[in-house]
Amino acid sequence: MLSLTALLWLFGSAAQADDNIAVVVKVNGKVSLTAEKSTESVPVKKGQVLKNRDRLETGAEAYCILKFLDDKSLLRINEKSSCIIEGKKEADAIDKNIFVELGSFFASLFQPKGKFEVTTPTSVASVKGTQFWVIQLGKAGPTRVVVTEGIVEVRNRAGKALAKKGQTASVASRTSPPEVRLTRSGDIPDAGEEELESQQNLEFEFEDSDGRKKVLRIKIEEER
Amino acid sequence: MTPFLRILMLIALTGTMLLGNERALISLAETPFVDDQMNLNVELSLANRSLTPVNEVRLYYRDQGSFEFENEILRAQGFRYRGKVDLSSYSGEMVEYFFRVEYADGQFQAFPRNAPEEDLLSVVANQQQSYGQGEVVIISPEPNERIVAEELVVTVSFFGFAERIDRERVRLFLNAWDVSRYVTVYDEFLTFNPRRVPPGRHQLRLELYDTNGRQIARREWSFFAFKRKGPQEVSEDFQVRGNAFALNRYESISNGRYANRFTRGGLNLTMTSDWMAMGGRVYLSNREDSRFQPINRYTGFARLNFWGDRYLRLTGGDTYPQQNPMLLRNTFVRGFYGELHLGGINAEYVTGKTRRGVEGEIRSDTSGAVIDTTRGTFERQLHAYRGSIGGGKEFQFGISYVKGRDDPRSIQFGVAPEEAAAMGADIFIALDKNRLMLEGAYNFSFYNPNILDGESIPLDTLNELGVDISRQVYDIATDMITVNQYLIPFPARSYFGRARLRYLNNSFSAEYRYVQDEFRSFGQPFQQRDIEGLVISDNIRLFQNQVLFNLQYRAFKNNLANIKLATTENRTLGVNLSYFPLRNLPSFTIGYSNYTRLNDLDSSDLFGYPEDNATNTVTFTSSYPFTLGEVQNRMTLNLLNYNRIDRIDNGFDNLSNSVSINLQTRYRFPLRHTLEFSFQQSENENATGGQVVTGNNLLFNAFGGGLEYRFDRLLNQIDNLTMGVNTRFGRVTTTRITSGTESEDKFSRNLFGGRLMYDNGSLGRLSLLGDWIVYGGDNGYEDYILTARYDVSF
Repeated sequence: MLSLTALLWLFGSAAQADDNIAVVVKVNGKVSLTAEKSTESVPVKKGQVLKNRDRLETGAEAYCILKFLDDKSLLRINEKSSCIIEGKKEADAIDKNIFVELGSFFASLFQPKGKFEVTTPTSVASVKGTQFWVIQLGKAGPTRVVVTEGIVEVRNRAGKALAKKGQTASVASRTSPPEVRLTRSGDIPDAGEEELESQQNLEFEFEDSDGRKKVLRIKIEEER
Repeated sequence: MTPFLRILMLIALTGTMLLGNERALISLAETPFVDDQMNLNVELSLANRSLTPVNEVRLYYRDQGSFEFENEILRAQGFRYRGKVDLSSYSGEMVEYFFRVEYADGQFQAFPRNAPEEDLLSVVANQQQSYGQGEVVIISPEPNERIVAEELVVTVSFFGFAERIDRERVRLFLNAWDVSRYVTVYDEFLTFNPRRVPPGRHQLRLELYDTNGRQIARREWSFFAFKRKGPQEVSEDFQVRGNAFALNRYESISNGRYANRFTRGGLNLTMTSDWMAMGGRVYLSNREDSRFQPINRYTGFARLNFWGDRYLRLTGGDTYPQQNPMLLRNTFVRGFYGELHLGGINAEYVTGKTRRGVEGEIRSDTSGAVIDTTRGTFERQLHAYRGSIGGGKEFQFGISYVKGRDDPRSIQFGVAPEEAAAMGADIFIALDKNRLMLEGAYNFSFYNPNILDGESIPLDTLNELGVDISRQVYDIATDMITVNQYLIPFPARSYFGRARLRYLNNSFSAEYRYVQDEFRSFGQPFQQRDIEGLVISDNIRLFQNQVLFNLQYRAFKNNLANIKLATTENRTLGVNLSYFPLRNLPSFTIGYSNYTRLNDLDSSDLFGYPEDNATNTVTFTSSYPFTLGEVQNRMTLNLLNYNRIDRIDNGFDNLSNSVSINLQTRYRFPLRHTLEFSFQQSENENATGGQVVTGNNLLFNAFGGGLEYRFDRLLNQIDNLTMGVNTRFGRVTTTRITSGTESEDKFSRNLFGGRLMYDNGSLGRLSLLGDWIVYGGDNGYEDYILTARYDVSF
């Protein structure tokens, strides 16, 4: 019995250890977290470790930025938004899926390790090595995916489409196929008072003789 | 893939104690080792028996497949000289090294004795040990990220090898502060979440260790913190860094018969911003003497950064230009050095002095009349130009011109001022992500070994003196160099080509080199001349880098112009096998080398130096880090057999055997100690007709140990006091054979040392050291050295 208890404890510890998928690196305003199978919300603080299927919700004029632990993929959750972040450990990578309920989100991926998908009520955006916004207008309303770098595949039951840099994919409903058009001014939400971390970065990738990759990042900032 | 460093070494202990008339007794005070950061740590014990003080001791090192050495000055600590050099660029390769002691009168002494030609120490610089597919990922803050001072969250993940990491040993440093206790370590990542950090640039250093205490990863990066709003935002125009030291050292040798006092101080300062950097270095010593070459050093520089890695750098004072390795390298030039690096096109200019003029000594008789002079040193001026195309990372082609000239009027009593003009082209090509690298240079020089008063003499006069050159050649030559009867009337050549390939776990290198005896460039004082040959080496990594196999072949000959009595050929064949287990088992290296020198003279040749000898060296080194309870230990064993057989009838044979064992122990609390034992037997014999005529045999055994304890947080949260003692008891028995008669000399050599070191972080570190050597037996006297040193970094 004791052995079984110990085994269960060990298994439980391991399972718990695998649950940690991201860390909050920036919080502004009222941001709350609700763990899976819990109805109680707690305020999010910087440095908070996020687990699989944690639900995050931001208030008015609030936002938070989190980074995933395997490849430092970044997710910014703008004001008045909510989502569930899901991450499944696969070897050294985390397969990520952001279940968007409402609001606007910005994702920035560099050298992603696992899958990165954003699931909205109308569609799924599947990405690799890119930067894009997801705007969900209403819990059952249309979805807009604004690509600022790279390529995003947007799909649902009705079809799929590829959106490239400078393009926006719109999905009116679950049964409407994604439509791609050029991004218009006003498609990109206001990022608030803070500059978006990766929007104005130049990145150069180098590989040494042993195949190790290094990245030179040059941050361009406007004088205030 | 996490780099992991393991040591292994082959210590050619031959000459660990010197025989004969060398000025200093030199030995390795500690077994050299490569630490986890891939630094080679060396400690040399030096007992100076001469009246001439030691200026400095340098460590020279190179990868086995090349010719050129890099060097590093060792720091004096009592009778010991300590140093640390970064071998990370030599990963997986065998690195050769030796020490050179420079005395105040400009004379040198090498250790090992015959280095670098015949005898070198070596070490395997291994890393890249596989820890699975894991890697350390800096999640936040990212390198050079700008963050708000209140929003720092340090997060680092280490997926893949999390199981190997000892969470209790994780170390995180914010600038100089150890913040490890505030770090939350999870299975696969860690976080550090302070309330705020001061505005400005900050440095983070993370060290991860395995359960055996071996460091398996280390990351350093910086970030910039600023205040959230308004005019308080801190400017990062310039980041100031530097260090300074002051030292006072008193030596009493042979019961106070000779006493020396050294006072030294130094300051390094750099100020950097995104667009420019400037700084300087000052080194001052009370041993500076106009009768010798400069010891004091003064350097100032300014660097203007353009876009990309393009820059303009101006350096004044003691500059150290590194250009074409056969024309300008390894020499200080006191003057000016300018570099314009635009990537596509680059230009460099150097001008200054490489030697100070030192007057010869005048000897007079009782009446005051000059009866003799000793040779003085002429002041030497150097000018160099280099233009190149290519950024240097993948391609560069350069053309250089180096002109060096002694000033005949700089001193009154000197012999043969020299002049040399050298020019050449060098090329570097790196392909396939640096897996294939090609480099080479082709140079020629004009050399005049005696420019007399520095004036060229007329062509007619030259012809009358028997030098037959045309007007055209004369006119061209006089534009470059002083033309007189001593000018070597033909250009001398030097060239080399080197290929390096890194494929299929092999690091292969082949180099061919040719330098004529008359070739001179005053910008490269350490050029070996009259030499032609090749070096081939291959380092093969197997089984996740657990096994390293090294092969080396060197073959050289001299007498390229065929004007010497004989051509001497020397060959080296070496092979090493190293094993660095992934598990915590002993690592070891077994090595064998065969070195031969041969010319076609025999002992009956009166004017030549006949050579026909072979040296076989067998080495075994093993290192074993192990943990007993909470006590970390590392045991190192070195065995050496060195056998030189001289086939010339009156040549010297040498047979040496040595064993050394070292045990280093470190406790959870800040106590560490070492125990060491060494034994060496050496026989040098000069035999004629099978009968030993002269020789000396040495038996040397020693044992010792050291103890060190650190007291933390004495006056504040960051200071500490380290107290240490060490001792070594040695006994030397020397048997000399002179004309077949034996005489024996026995003495003991016991060393006692103590040190106190108080470290108060940014306020600096004060060290007090005392070393005392007692010679007993047939040579009874005492030496001692007291040292006080203060260091501060900012």
